[in-house]
Amino acid sequence: MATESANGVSSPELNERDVVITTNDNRNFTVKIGVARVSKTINNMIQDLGESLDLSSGIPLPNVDGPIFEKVLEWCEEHKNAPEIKVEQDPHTRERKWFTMTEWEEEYFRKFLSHLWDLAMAANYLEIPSLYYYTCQKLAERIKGRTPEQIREMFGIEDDLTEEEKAEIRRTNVWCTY
Amino acid sequence: MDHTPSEILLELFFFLDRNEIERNQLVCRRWNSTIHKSLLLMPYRKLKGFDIITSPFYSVIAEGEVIFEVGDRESVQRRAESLKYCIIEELKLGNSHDLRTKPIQEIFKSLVTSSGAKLRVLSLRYDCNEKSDFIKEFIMQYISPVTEIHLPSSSLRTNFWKRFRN
Repeated sequence: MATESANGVSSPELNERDVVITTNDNRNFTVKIGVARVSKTINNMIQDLGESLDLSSGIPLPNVDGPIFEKVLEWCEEHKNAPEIKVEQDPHTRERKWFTMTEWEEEYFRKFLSHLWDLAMAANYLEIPSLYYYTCQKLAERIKGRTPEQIREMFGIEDDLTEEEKAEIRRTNVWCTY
Repeated sequence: MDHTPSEILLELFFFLDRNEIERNQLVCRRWNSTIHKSLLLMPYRKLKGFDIITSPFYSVIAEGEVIFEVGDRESVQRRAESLKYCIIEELKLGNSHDLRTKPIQEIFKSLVTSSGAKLRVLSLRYDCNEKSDFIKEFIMQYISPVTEIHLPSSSLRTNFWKRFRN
């Protein structure tokens, strides 16, 4: 990312400086700007603040809690120099093409398998496309080939559709094999 | 999970094929309404093709299911309607399925009316000596967008493409 900060400090220099980020449970994280910038939301804040950016008093993140931000930071550290991901779809069916993940990424999701929804929400708010799309793909991977019952059980979802409603869905989706 | 924005749900559904997506409508009310609102944006279902049966009555079969017949069966009507969520891999026409005949035109007209959209076809094969202008008109009326058109003679094909693109 060849961005310049508002006060003209060149990126490589700024990237090495620390910034304090405060999550909504009042935890402070001291992070290298180059790592924090993987999040477009944080990058925008840093740029908007420009000269008035006080690196020690910190940037507040009202929508993310400490335990999740910690996991997000692990991703950012690994991806600080990664190129932008390309989201592609099949031109005919419009199905999204699956990304190939590195061994590190596979391991990351194995480790945080029970936090996928929280990670997706945090990545969405923090605008980290790689983490966002990859997490969505992981969720899709978990859903694929499973029955509605298995999916409900896996995610703790309440079965709140009536039998009539389910019958109507089946009637409407004439091509669907269940 | 209850607070997950629909945006995230939608995003992950895009990684699945249409069959999986439709099946996920049965998971819960929220998944159902999220999918239902975006049915037109979701990936298409791939159908292999149509078999047009001429005897004893005209009917059309896709994936072993009737999608057009004389009469008013609800299930058939629903299948025709959901063609708007489908893409047809290969459509073969010609010989007994001469585009100029009234039944064939009626079939296509009915399918397009039911689904509310022109038929999405990946590859159209036409094996009849028919004037290309006529085929062009037929395609414009019922089929969109066609990515590949196979006509019997190669010279006709080239000409046809030139004219179709203009």
